[in-house]
Amino acid sequence: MTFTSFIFLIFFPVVLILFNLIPRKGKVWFLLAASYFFYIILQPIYVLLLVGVTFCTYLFTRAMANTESEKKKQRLLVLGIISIILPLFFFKYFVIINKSVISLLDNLGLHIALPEISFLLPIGISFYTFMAIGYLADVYNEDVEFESNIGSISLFLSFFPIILSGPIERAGNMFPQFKNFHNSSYDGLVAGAKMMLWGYFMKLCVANRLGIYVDDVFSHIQEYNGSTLAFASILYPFQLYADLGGYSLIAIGVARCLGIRVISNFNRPFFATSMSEFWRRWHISLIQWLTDYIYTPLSFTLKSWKIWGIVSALVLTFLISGIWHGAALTFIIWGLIQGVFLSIEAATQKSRSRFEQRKKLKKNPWYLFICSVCVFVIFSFSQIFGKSPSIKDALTVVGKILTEWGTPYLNITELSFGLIALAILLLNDFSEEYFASSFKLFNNKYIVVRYLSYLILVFMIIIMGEFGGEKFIYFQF
Amino acid sequence: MRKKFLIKLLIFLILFLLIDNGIFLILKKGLDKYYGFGKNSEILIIGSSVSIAGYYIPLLQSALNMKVALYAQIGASLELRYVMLNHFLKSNTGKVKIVLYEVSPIMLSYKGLATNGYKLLYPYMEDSVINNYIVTKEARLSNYIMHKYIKTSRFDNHLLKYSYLGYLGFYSNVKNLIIDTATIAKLRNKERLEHILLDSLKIKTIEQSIHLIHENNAHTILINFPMTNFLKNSYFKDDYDQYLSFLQGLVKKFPDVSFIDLNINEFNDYHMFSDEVHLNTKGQKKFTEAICSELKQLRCIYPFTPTQ
Amino acid sequence: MEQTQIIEKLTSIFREVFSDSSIVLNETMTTDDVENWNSLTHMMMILKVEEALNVKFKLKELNKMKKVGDLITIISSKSE
Repeated sequence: MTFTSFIFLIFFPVVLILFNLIPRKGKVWFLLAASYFFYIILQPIYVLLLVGVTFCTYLFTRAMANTESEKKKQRLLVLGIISIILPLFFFKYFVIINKSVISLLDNLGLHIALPEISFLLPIGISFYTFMAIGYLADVYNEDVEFESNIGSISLFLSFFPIILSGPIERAGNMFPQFKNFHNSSYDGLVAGAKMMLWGYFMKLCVANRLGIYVDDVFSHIQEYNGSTLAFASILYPFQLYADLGGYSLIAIGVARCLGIRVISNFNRPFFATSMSEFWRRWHISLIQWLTDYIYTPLSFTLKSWKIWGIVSALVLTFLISGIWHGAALTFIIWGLIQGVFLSIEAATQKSRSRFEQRKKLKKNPWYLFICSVCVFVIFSFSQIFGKSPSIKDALTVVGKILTEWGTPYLNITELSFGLIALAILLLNDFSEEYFASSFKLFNNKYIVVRYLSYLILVFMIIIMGEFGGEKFIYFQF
Repeated sequence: MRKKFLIKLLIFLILFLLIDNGIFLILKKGLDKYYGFGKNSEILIIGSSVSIAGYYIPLLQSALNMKVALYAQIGASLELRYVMLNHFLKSNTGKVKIVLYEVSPIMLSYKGLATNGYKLLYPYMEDSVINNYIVTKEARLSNYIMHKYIKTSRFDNHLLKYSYLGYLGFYSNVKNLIIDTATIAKLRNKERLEHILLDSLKIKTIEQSIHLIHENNAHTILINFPMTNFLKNSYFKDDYDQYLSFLQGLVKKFPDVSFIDLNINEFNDYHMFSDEVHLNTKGQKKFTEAICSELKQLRCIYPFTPTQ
Repeated sequence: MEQTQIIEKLTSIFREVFSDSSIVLNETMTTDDVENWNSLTHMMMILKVEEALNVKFKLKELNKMKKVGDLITIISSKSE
């Protein structure tokens, strides 16, 4: 079951009603049962893995809390991280490593018949693994106290709104809320429903619609000309934003209905005027996790290298981010591109600031627009590597974009809905970015305007929504 | 809080149902206009997107001085065409005199036709014929329930387009493109169409359709649609004679079946096609003119008594 | 080192690293209050502070720095 499946439309209201009927003390256990039910429906066998990771997390954090020795805590932290990350490593990267080893042996003339194994990736493993590691590190750093209630830890790692594709939450945010469950408030339900509605619009009307065209073009790279590939490359970041952003918003909305506030995951990323700002607005929960648990310790360790320490930490962090996204060279290249551009920005930050101050550019709308476009182009370029099946294909796409111009292939029937929905999405983001207090539809003071907005959006989803594709892009992470 | 929330939810649901039904009625009316329901058409065209691209209805109507209905769906299989035929004839009993039934080698393969064409019939699921067909085809109960109770959801982007075109009375083929033969050749090397497969089930379905038309006192005219040279003379080359024999066999077998073959050299020039099988703007004009001329020659228009 | 000295030195470091000569430090100041203060420039600032004030931070201490006041407190504790 996913958020856009029919069964979820039955599951969620039932869970919501029962949640409000169950006494306060039982709410954690009820939500835990609901979360495991949610996961079992999707992938029954892999629920054992989730249980295993949960127990590991519990045991290691308990051990850390019960020891005074700093060295022993460190050892427990390292062991804990290794044992939690091993399944992720195995499921995600074993296949490619196995293939690489076979290929390497073949190249060396050693034809050893290693079995070629492939298996389905446990859904959500990247997300709950990161959350578990984050909790482990927080206990070690004494940012969060060890949670003795295994129900809370289990719920934290399996919480059904966020387990499939995030946002990646923190123990420090979730545990206090789990201790303080209340019945759903009217404001919470309304706020949650609004987020879900907008999330469904993003996912079904923008992401799924654009996805039909983008996926078709990228699956037939050789058949389409450079202009078509360029157009698809421009649309792909929007598709990604609407897919993961929409999904995150649904997740946040569902949690809100249950009275849980979850971290926001996107903040109008296409209005960023620098790459570093972009990465503070895109997949926020992942970037914050990487910053707190990878970049900061790395850059601190390498601080004697001064600017090169920061650069190295940046590149390595985004390399890890690329690897997290996928077990393929293309994702590594993608990560490297991000790291390199961010490093260039970091290294030139002072001179750019001085230049902007001298020319008074910071408030110049045209300068800001050009900066946003540059950021978008860089990101779209990097996503060619994220989307293409191989490096060769990615380079083919880039080559064709630069050399093969002509009339782009445009499937108007399929694209029209997607583009209209995208225009609405961007218009909404634009008005929220620059006119936050002025144009309100969902939060308008007149009930007629609010109800009309909800109804229009509902019917837009029904008419324009593409319900076919159930897989979210970030699903197999 | 609960009472306030429930009241607001109830108001919202009532508004939703009212608007849903309202939008559905508007969209369905447009779709009816497009297909030609309710205008007492004397000529009915049954086919796939090939027919949609090929026939220019206003020209047909003015040249023949008869009302024409175009009931065609993208990728309509033989089975679907039978259901559509049944549906239309039932809704317009006694009015239809001639059925122009699209035939092509594509209809006798499975690639190139849609396996889920039934989805385009959802707006008519209130009709028992259509509903029974959908029930046998729809694998997902959730889809069926959704379409049954949220009526606006019955319209996908294709049907919305047809509804809109129905209000405009717009049947022009706007594809000015000419087929890119190089690209098609590349694609064909990868995704080869199936060869013509004339099995007993397909024969039965076609014959059932002819029977149905006959029972409704109408004449069947099999229209052999043009396709590009590339497809006709290389791809389907081996099976084409068998296919033609089959069609000619139908004409001999049934008294009120005629055959118009427009898959001839004059119509195989790729300049008339936007892809291998769909005519473009130029092709539509030429094809429609040819159909008008052929139908007049067939002399089954004046009077209605069919003659060979 | 006295608190006023620390604040004085930190102010000049902040102004240099974050390219803003108008910065006036206060204890409740966070990254939200300074435009160029982000995770990238934060480490540059930490480096400069260590050099200028002759202190060495631990990673755990870094994690506990949520606002300028925390930074001042940690520096003060190291200076004693």
